[in-house]
Amino acid sequence: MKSFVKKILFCAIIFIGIIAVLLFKTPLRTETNLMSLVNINSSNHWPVNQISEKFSSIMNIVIESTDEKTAKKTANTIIRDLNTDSFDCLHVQSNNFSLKSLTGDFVAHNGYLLSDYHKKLLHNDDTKTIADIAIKQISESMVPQLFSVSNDPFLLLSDFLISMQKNGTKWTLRDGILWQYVGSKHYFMIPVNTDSLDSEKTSAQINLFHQKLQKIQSDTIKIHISGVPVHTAFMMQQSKIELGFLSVLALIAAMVLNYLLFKRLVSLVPVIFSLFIGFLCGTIALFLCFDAPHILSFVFGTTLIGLGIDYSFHFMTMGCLKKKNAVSKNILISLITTTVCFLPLLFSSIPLLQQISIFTIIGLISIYFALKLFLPTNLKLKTKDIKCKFVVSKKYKFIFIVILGLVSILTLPFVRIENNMNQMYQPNEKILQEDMFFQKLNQSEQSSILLVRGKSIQEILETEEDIKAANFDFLSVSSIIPSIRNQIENHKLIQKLYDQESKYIKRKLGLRNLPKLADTKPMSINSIESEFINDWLNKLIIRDDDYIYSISQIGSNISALPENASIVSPSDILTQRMKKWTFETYNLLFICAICLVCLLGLIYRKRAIKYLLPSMLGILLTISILTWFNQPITFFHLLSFFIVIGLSLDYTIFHINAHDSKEMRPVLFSFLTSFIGFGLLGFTSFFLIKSMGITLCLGLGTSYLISLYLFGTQKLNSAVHIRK
Amino acid sequence: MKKFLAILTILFSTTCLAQQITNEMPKKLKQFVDNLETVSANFTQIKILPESTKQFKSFGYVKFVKGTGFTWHQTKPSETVFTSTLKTYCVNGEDKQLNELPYFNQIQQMIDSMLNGDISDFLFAFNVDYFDDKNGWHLVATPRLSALTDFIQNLTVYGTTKNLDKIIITYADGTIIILQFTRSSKDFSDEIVC
Repeated sequence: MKSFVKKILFCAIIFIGIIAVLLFKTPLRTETNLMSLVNINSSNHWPVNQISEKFSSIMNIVIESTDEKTAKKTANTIIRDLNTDSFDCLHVQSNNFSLKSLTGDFVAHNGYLLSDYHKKLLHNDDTKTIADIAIKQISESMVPQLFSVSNDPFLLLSDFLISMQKNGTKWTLRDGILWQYVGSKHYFMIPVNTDSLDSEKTSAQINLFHQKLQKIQSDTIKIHISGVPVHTAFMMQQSKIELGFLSVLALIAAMVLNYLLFKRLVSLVPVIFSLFIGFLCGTIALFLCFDAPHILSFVFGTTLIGLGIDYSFHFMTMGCLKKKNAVSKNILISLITTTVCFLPLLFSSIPLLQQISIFTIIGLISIYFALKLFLPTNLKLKTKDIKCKFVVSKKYKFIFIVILGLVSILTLPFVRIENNMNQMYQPNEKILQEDMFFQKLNQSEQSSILLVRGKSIQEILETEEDIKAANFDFLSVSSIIPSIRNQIENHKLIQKLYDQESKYIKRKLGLRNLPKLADTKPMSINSIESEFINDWLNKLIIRDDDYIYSISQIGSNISALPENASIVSPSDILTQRMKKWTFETYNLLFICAICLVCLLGLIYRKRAIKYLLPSMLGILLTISILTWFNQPITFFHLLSFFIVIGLSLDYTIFHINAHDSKEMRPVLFSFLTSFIGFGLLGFTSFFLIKSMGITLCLGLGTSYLISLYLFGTQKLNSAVHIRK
Repeated sequence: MKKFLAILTILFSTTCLAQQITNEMPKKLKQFVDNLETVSANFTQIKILPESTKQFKSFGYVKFVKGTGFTWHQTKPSETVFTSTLKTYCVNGEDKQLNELPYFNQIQQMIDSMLNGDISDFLFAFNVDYFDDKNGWHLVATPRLSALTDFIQNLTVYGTTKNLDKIIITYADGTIIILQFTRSSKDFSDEIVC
């Protein structure tokens, strides 16, 4: 096929890809939420992701002062500010506690609602006690009853409403704002719901609001802000600054190295062109294969940068070399080995690994073809020779390799594997202190999350009531709306109370009319009109395609739960999932090594192991060094090892197969570019990026040096000897 | 005509006497607040329910200590001790979390502020008409805030420069509470703690 036709075909494939993405995948969606990546729902069929999102989208603002009035005034100012358009991603949780609206909702069902206390008395036929307590309360209390005597002569509704209000926390509502008094200080809390946690806009608004709060603070007023959104916002801001700065440094380094290699600025063009094509094709493939690829796929797809630069350097220097075909063959072998290295990831059950695999493989193949087809063949960029001054003599090479291997293997028993995401995150000291302060203030006995599911709300309510009957009472949806089964039972008991005690209470209170049980209907979720209760229910109920779920926070664990109930802990499930992922990635690394041995065996026969050893020793040494510095090995470290293998195999192939010392220089400069670029990432404060940066830096550094000094330059050395 | 003039005069004079409190506390009221330090008084509570033909009477005593709070000790027909410190409330020694009822908290806060000479909270929550009487003063407070209007129609307070004589609370459901106080010379021993 003619070169021109090939070029047209290449461009046509990219063009069709772009059109396909635009036609079928717009608007383009990328996933940025780490939790969505983990998708912990699938393992246990409980919507743990949604719960986790629900709980982690709340930011808490606490105003502290010895003067209640000032604190409340500040709280109101903050609420007013939050309700402005400037903070449209932040929503103050409704505490619109209007007793009148509540009473309206409950009066309509007053023959069906009973507190546990009254229910027990009625079950024991102790109707007199209920009547006497009501008479005393109605005739003596200075504070009026919540409901009129005709609507609630036995104070059944009042007691139900008061028992419902016990929310199990130390916070109580004071004029619509959560309040508590501890150690001579008043605390007002404003819970704020945030829009999508990872949105840049939300984070920007949180940071802006944080700054605003700092200004409001004074000697008498202290403002605390805590919650997952604060961490995310801080992290995003920090990462943005750090990555922006480091990217500029890496870019400068890459340009300087490029210039040092070729002494011509034009050499930047093929590099930029190949990287652009690689990222474009990788992105097209990702969007065509996945609805919303994760942003981390692009982060871990940075192998493209290293190899893109490497291939560009080799293609650019090829013109000056005598054995062009050998170099071309080396590049092709490097492409095949890297592809084989990333291929097993495609069959992983982890979506992120599948995405990284597709992005890297397609990106690399595109870079290869883009350079092969479009780089002018007459481009003759000269580079200097590189002289390997320190060549380890053959007899010591083996000893060195054995020592390195032994040291690495002996360190392996001390490797610490970390699967707990909380341990991987090192929060800002100040934010951590605020979190601890809030936890201390918010001391709640509720530690576990109970999930109950059903096809209907009624099914959920009945299950909740069964759990409560078998264990203990806790605040749940059925505390607000009892099941129809329960309400019908209540109705019978209430009717009995009216039958037995109406005349007595009429006489004692001197009522004009005999109290009668009004003809009302049982309460249902659709009959609630109060914004406050509806908001509350929305927090406790979630739905998916198959089920409705209720969430309750309970103090202690419940044994023997029915099938449609479960106690879940998102962080435990996440740790379990990470454990599984880590194990799977270990296996994939092993499979990857076997595939590479087979492939290299086909190409290089007996010498195959030589090509693989630098990568393997590089990885083992990286693990050892991290262990010496007491650093844990996580799933993200393992992911980085795939990139190490991909890049170091390329270096090894060129080091072992080099025919001309000019071939070594592009490898060195390509290595330095990757080494500096990834090394700089080690200075970020974001664990994931930092661990990736350090791993790549160590892995690439060690495998480059091993491949160069212990395995490399054989042909060159022998050529030198022959010449001598 | 004379009748008409007489009615007009009465109306006019009443309007003149009623004083809409804006920001400063009227003189007699201020004197009363300033004089208030530690007070013990017997009380009679009359409760009138709209649905009932009866009036319910309760008796007891109240002790007020400026800057600390008060205790409301009902002795008849049953014994109940309600204590309100500046921070908490309790009934018979048990914390009842009455501050969950917003209107109650607002009233308590207003009383605290008023007794410290600050009537801004009171005026924020109520429209207040103040009257200078022959022997003292009285004021009629009508709530402005929905949290209060849901429950209280108005409250009328009668007093002199030294004593609080009577409070009439009319609730939104028509329930009326009349509290009459008689200052006691003896100091009740109840401690104001929760």
